[in-house]
Amino acid sequence: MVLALQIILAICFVGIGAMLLVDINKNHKGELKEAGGKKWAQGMFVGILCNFLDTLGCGSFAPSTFLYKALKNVDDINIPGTLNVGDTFPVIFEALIFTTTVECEPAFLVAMCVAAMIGAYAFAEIITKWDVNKIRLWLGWAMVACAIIMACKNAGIGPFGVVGDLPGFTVGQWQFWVAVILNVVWGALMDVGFGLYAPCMATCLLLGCSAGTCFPVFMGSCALLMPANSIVFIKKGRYDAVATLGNFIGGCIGVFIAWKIITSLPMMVLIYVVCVVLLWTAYSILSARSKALKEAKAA
Amino acid sequence: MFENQYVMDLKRYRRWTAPTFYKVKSFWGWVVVFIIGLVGALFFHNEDTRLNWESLGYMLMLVSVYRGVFFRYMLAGKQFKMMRVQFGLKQWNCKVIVGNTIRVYTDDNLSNEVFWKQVAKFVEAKSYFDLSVDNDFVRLDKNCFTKGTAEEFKAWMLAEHPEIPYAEELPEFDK
Repeated sequence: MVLALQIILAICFVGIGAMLLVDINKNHKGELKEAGGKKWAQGMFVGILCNFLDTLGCGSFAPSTFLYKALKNVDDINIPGTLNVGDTFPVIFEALIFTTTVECEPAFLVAMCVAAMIGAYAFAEIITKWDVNKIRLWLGWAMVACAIIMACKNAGIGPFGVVGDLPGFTVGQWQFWVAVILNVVWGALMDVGFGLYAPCMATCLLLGCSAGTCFPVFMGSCALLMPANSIVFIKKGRYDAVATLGNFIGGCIGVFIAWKIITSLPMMVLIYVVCVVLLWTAYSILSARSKALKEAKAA
Repeated sequence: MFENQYVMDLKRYRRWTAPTFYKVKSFWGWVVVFIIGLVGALFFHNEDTRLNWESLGYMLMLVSVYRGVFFRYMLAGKQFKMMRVQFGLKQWNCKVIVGNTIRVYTDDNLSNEVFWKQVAKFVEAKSYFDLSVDNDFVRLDKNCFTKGTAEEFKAWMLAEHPEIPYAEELPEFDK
């Protein structure tokens, strides 16, 4: 049975990869020939680093965009396509590698993924009418509070209790429903540009899941929600072939390294890593808010 | 000259943009994934092994149902809702006037004008006609002709514009 499941996964991988390689061979051959070693090295570097960070929960779009612009190796117009196409493979790899190796209550995992989907599809219209800067303010400081609470729990300081070690919750537990409702909200917030990784991770941890369980939950939710954007970009040819392949190959290497680290780290250290990720996310959200406010004032 | 007028709402947008899921070729691939996921989940549930393989079985079932059945329908709904926010309207009136050129009006404002040399294909479905232009199309509802009829329009197109190839809609979109 394991073999049958592995074959299915392999078919998915090969299918997506083949589609990209056929298109590159058909439409981007010249681009590959012209690219020097420097461009390949930069593409691989961005892929490895950003997908390593993505696996830790930091997300990869923001650091990849920053690096592509800093290194000037991808045209601005091709950045969205390069990110969408190149990240598809590492994200699916990420979700599957964690689902097959990390213990997670099946009903909880599926319910969380469905909740994120409901949020992203059913509440798109409502959420886009909200004031993004207000959401940024609340969510940013909530992330800071979560990081502090988790660090205190980990160190055994304060009235917050101890860190949980559950592989998820069952339908009869109240934590199950709180987590599901909150994941609907996090899924909906994806429509206005908020990443789901950090809030979903914080939710699971605060409710008592083990740190490892959070990874398949948030990765599964995001991998399902990745729309068929990559297919659209492949059809339109709006991506940089070298950077995409760098993301594709380097991304999987980055994911693998991060997976090895995460699954081998002692739980206590992993929770501190998660706290750093939460603080980084809070900083990104709050700095985006202050930038937006400054721009609004200048205008 | 022909005139076609209809209201674009969520129901119509979904009907026109989401294919009939079981007529899409990839649907059968998803059925296979679902069966393997189901068998895997039941097998590992009874085997009392670690939870991760059972979880994977359920995830495969979820992914196959989502991508094979609901995805395009849900995406169409979301796209339309995002357009509603963008336009600030709940629904809008579309009017297509076919004459020397093809003029498209949205709520009585000219939103697009297409020249005949731009039209690449004339497509017929059960309920609409499409005039394909690059990656886009101008759509006319067969039941919403306010000047002329669907039959007259088809006959006119075939007689007046034989240079535009005629085709039937793909089975999954033929509604």
